[in-house]
Amino acid sequence: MNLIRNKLQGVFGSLLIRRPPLQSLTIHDVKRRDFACICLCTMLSRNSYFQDCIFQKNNRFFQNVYYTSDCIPFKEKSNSDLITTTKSSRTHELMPQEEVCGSVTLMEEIDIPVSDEDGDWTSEMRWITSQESRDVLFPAKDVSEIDALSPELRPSFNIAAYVNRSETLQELVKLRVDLSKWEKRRGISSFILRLDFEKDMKRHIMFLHDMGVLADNLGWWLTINPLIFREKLDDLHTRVNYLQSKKFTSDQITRVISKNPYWLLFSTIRIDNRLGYFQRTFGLTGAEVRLLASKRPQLITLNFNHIMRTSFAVLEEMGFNQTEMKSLLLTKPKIWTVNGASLQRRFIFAHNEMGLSHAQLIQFPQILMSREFRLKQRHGYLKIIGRNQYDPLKANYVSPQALVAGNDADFCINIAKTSVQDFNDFLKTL
Amino acid sequence: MTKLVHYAPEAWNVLRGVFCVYKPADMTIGFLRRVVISNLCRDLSVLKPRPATPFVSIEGSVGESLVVRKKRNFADDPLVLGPRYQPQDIKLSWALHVDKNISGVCVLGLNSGNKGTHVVRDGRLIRTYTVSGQFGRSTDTHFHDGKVVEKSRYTHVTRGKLLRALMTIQSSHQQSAVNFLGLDPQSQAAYDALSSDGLVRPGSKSPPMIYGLSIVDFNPPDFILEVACINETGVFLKILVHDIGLKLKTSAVCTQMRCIRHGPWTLDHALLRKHWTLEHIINNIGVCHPMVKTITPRTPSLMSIDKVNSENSCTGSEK
Amino acid sequence: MMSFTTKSLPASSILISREFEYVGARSQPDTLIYTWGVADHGALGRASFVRPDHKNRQQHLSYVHHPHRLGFGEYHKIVDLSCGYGFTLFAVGKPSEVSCYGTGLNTDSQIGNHEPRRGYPLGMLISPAPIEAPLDKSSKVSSGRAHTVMLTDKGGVWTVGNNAYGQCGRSILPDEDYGRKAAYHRIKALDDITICHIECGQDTSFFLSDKGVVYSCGWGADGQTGRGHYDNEPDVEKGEVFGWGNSEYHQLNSATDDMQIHVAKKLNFPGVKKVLDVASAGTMCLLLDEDGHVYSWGFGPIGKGPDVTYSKIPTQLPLTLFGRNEITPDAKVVSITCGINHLAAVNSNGSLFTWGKNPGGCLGLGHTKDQYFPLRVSIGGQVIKVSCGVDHTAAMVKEIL
Repeated sequence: MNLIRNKLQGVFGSLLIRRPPLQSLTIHDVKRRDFACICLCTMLSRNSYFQDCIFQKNNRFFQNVYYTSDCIPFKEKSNSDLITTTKSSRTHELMPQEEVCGSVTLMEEIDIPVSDEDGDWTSEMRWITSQESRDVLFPAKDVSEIDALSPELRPSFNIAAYVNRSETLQELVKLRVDLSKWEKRRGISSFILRLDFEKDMKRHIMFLHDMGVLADNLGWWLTINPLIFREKLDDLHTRVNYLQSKKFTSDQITRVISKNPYWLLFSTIRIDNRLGYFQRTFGLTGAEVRLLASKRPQLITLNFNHIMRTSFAVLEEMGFNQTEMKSLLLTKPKIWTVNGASLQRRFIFAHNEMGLSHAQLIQFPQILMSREFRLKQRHGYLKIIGRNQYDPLKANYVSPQALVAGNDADFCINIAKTSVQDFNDFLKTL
Repeated sequence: MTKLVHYAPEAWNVLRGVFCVYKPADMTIGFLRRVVISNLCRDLSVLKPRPATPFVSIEGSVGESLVVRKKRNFADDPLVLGPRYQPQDIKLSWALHVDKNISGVCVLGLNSGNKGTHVVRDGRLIRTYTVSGQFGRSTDTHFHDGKVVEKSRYTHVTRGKLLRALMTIQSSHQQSAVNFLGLDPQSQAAYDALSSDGLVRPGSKSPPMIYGLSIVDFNPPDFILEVACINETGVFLKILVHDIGLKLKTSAVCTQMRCIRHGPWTLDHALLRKHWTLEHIINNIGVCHPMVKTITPRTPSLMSIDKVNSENSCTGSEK
Repeated sequence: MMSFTTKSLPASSILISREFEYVGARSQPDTLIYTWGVADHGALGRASFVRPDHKNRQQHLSYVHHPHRLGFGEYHKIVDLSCGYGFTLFAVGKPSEVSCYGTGLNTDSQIGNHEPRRGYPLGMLISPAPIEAPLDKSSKVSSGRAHTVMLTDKGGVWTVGNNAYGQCGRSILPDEDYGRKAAYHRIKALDDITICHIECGQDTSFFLSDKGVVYSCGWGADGQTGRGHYDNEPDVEKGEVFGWGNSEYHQLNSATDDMQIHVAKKLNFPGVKKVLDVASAGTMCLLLDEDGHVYSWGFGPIGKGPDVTYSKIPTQLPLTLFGRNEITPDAKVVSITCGINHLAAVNSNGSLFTWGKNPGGCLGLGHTKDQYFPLRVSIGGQVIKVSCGVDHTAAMVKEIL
């Protein structure tokens, strides 16, 4: 048995080095390709030797194949059907051609001669050697077709390898979708490659356009959320209808959808839950919830943990009260989306070092959104020249809002009333 | 000399060499590197990019007429390949590591300018710091933001006493420099090397060494020192302030460390954070280029070398 | 997810109730004494070097090659010190009852008479012991081969020790046993003259009055005294160097070609500015001008590296060897001293530089190898005065605080 297994490994080892005869273009990452090879191994081995053995009974392998190659799953056949697979049946099961060839033309299937006789590997070996000789150029289907002379499409790490052959991808590029960003996200490229622009995308894009996503914005929108193509159009309509039922105006809906591409992925139940949470926690009226959702749609779909943690920080660590927190939320909802630690540092600096009261911070929440080094530099400079006077009742008042606004030249001329060079010299003493 | 550049590859071609930035305190040098690189990528992508190479396709069948067409190459589109200039394309390294708490002059090398940073490092240039300290307390980290472990009185400390303490530290460091000269202190070569003008600089690896210590400002409990040293680290400077406290029979913590000079680079050359942009960096590379040229290579172990004595010390340190 | 861990609060907010006071506001820095070199004869002043207490893990040390802090200096206010041939003298200031202490060889009662058992005087003292001279307060001490000269503020000049050549300023008694009885002698001839400085050669003594007159007594075989007993040199002007004595190695080459001269002759050094200080070792001479430059000449390790051992004319030692560099451009030498074979210089920053022969590590450089050019000695503090003996050295150091 061991002997046989070693032999097997030898053969499949060579298969592995060579291009795996699986016709999946979606396998673009090493790990997955290995898995695909493993699944091929299991099948070949089943063919020849281990009839009715572990592999068939054990679902795990099939699941893996399904999972890793991101294709439709194996249909687990009733009994020994799978064992007598020919090449064609295998490809069909692993990746049905019509599913894949939507966007990319596939290469031709190759028949692997399979002998049922135990221990006879000659035919397999012959097949393997024949494959080796056809490594660089794909076998021409029809010599008269000039395209057949071009190099075959092979599994690649990049979408760029397919983009010149795929109409779908070209259409997306024309929409200014950044494919390079999709590439970096797990599972996105393999999902997109199986789609067809006319069949699977066009209606979604038209829907977005109808919803008011600007044409210029569409590329950005799809770059962020390609998974919209997975949603059914009916669901999308339902989700928009939900917003309408909640008395969102059409402008607000447009804003919500175009600002937060992920919104439409959330089911109505989840959105309802989240809007309800904000209404309850911050004591908002319906109009305020709508205002908040349209002002900062990202906030609604943000992680709950983050929101709760920030609320805790604002209430307990920074010492605002409930009404102050509410007004902070409505004027500057972005505070809830930023990094908590740096928010805390900014507050400590503004409150303890600059001496701004809570009321002033509510009045000028921009202070909390300004970058810490900017705050430190400008306050430090005003302190040196003796103009750090943030009390509106006294002379030489400096508005905290004006302090963080504008570039350094504006700051020097309008607020500090010194030359930029002096300010730069000061910065070099920090 | 000045020239407008609109074409990104043209800018990219001049983006090599040594430049100098003003590192803010509380910023790690790795973070600084990321900021500079992402700024450069941002600015390069604003310029006119390289046009995509055309896609040449041959259409038709072999039997009939074949047509060669030039088509738009989608595979070379920035939307597919990603931005033309990406952070991983830019090589950026620093001449000498600068501690997180230290602010000030920091010499960086860009792309092939990384060779220049090696020259700067091997040149063993003196770095000058202004180190601020405060008498009266000492902390577990020796820096002002640490946990206070001791408080003590400092009314007896005067400017003269501080100066005496600094003199002792300074001259003992100069003495120890002789040990790292790489020469036998009893030899004539050592005499020639030491008696020539200029400071002794270590010929090989050496611990931190102080060449100059002076008081910039003394206003108890605060004081500001100017430290000229070599091979130092942030921790070394903090401990130096702590030691000065101990020598003066009180305790002291470091409140600020600012590098004001690194060999020929001074604060005037350093770019502020708002100037870490393509335009300023390219200009700064032009300014720094002649400075790198003046740095002497590693072998001579003297700071400023007389032509007469350089041969002696060269042969001496190579032994 | 998100961390709100704040950095440690500003340190001022942490309360530590206790505030230490290590030094009062008006405290003055102490003067410390450091000694180094051969320890066998007890001149370093620490008893445990010679007679270690093994129970306390003390080890016998025959030499110390780095400056060693002497505890005696902490208990007494020392105003002056001097190294003789195997012994060290300390002049002690006001609060002390005894004004002069000594340690080391006492073969000729140069440290006074110390007889724990009657009739058995100690030939060697291993820790500082008082010199019981009847004088109230000594301001300066100096020591030769085996005699001691003490200068007091009001009470004149006192001598004790070997007087075989009249170096104590009294008449030579044949068959006098100097070791058995200490003869404290006040030089009456100098009573009416205000002496401001004293200096001892091997067996000679020199006294400088405030009018610039040099008086001398002692051994005159090579003409060291200038002209025999009590002969004075009228009107020695400051800032010019006069030389007398042995010139075997051309120490006095600028004045004479003879081997010895017995009258003071003015030494002319062309190109050398006003001279502030001179020092002469066995075969070498040092000279310090008002710019802080050091010139050396003679035979031996004159400080120009191992290859240069002989110079007829004074040659300048580079100031870079004495701590002048880009950072301390104003450093200059302020005083110079010699032993027999080793030389020392102190610069304006209080750093001590030594070079020369190194018996017993008397250069204090941490080894016993000879050093052929000045190197800084690591001492914690500012050196005020240094004195070189034959094989040991002592320094008065002002601590930083």
